[in-house]
Amino acid sequence: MTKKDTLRTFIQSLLAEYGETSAIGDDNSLVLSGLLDSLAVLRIVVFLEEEFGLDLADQGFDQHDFDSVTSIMRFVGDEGDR
Amino acid sequence: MPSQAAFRLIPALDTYPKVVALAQTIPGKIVVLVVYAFGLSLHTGNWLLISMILAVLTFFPRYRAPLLVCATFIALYLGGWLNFDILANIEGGELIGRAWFKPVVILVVLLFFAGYYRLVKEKKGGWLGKRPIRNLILFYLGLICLASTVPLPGTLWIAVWAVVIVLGNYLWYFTYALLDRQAKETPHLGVQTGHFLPFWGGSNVPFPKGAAYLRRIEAKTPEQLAVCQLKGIKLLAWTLVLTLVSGMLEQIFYGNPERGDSFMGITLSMGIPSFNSVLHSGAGQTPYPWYMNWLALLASFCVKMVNFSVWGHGIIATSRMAGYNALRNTYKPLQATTIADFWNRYYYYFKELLVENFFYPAFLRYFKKSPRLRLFFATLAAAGFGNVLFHYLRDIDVIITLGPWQALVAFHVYLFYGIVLGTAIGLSQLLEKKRPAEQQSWLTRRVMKPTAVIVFYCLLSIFDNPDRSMVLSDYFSFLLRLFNIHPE
Repeated sequence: MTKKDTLRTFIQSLLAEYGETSAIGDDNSLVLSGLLDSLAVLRIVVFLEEEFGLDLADQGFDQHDFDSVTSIMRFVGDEGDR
Repeated sequence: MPSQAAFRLIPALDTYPKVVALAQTIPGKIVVLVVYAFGLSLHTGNWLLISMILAVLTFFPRYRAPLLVCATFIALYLGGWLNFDILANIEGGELIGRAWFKPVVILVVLLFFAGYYRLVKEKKGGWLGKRPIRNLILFYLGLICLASTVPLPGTLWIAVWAVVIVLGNYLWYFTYALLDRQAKETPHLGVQTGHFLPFWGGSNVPFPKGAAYLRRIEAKTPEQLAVCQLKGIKLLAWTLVLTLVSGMLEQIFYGNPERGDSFMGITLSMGIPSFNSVLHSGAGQTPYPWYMNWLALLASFCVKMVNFSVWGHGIIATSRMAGYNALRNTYKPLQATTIADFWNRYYYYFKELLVENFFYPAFLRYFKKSPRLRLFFATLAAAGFGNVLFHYLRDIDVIITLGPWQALVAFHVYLFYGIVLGTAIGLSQLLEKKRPAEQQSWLTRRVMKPTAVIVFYCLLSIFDNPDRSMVLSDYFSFLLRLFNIHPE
């Protein structure tokens, strides 16, 4: 399973908690569309830290950078796109 | 026939295809602008200048960014630049009356920030580039301490404090620029000056957020602009409705002798004393009955909430007319079901400022091994520490008058307010269970939870008083009087 698949699975389970069960595309808006709120963004951050060992502390952080699977993958790195 | 549920006091113009199509034509644009200008004239005395700026932005949307820079500086100039009244009566104060003085101070502050911004971008890995917002705030605090303690000759003293005042006005706009420095949508800093203290108004809180966010919500096609402007008209209409509601509430609660004790034919008045009257009726005065204290508190809370909505809606309506499809600052606060939810609904852009400048940095850095403590600490950092720091720096006139330390002492009541608010929001987030709304009864969702939240904020609002002459015990004394307890 690639990093992108892992992330997509997590996002899909998060969306299910928010009542959204249909499959989402990699470029679908998650935050600006209102599907996820800021608390959900925090859970994505925690997931990225625990799953991929990312540390976002020294990067400029904008919750809108977490608006889609594609934009989140920019934090994770190129490997996930294989 | 439309059902009662479909009734809308203000028609959803932005969803009518024919209206949207019309608003994209030249006659349609003129109608939109005239309607908005008329509504604005009922809302603010500054309507003519704003309407003229909106007309230019509407007909030349391709040049929105540079036009916005011009509009913002023109509005600053015609508005007398910034308020330096606190310095006017001090020795050397005649300096601020000189025509060149205020623009020069603003230029100095903007140039200082341009240099800082460039340095931060160039030294990404250094201590400055890693924590630019914290360093900017520390620099500002240092400047305040320096201006307060170093004996300076009158003219220089005035000049330094003028810089402090202007930097304070721009401070949170600058932090947004620093936050946005890596976002791909961020325009050149020179273009961003159009969003610093923008012509549509606001306060030290940037409405609506920073340049990168504005880029995202900007209307990019004629259709988007038409929809955005129609939403602006709708929001202004709602603002005017709320203005009437505010007038009616003030008449019914307090009466209005200045208007002949009548508002739009309403002469009914409950004669409730003002909140300040009941708050100050402590020792040495006959206290009001406990129920009158409650009425005064509730009436003050209601009127404050409506007036606050009016203020925020007016700003957002104009930003929408300028082509930025921003969210409302206040959105159905009475429907909030948790303490955290109310804060988000009541003062959205202030909450966003605190989240981006304090919550995220704290969340990303501290207590990573302990998720619940991590969330609580970050919330306290934002709603408590950030909130108090913002208001302390905002009341720069108190700092100039009393000095930074005495101003902090005079600020102790708000400090208490911030700690209680931060703790309550933190606990609210920790205890909140993701339970689908449909699993809760209507009574719980629509009545009990919102009522509990409103009562909490209503009681907490006792301590959110700009009067810095009172001490914490005065407020607790009033709190006890609400329950008919009269401490000696």
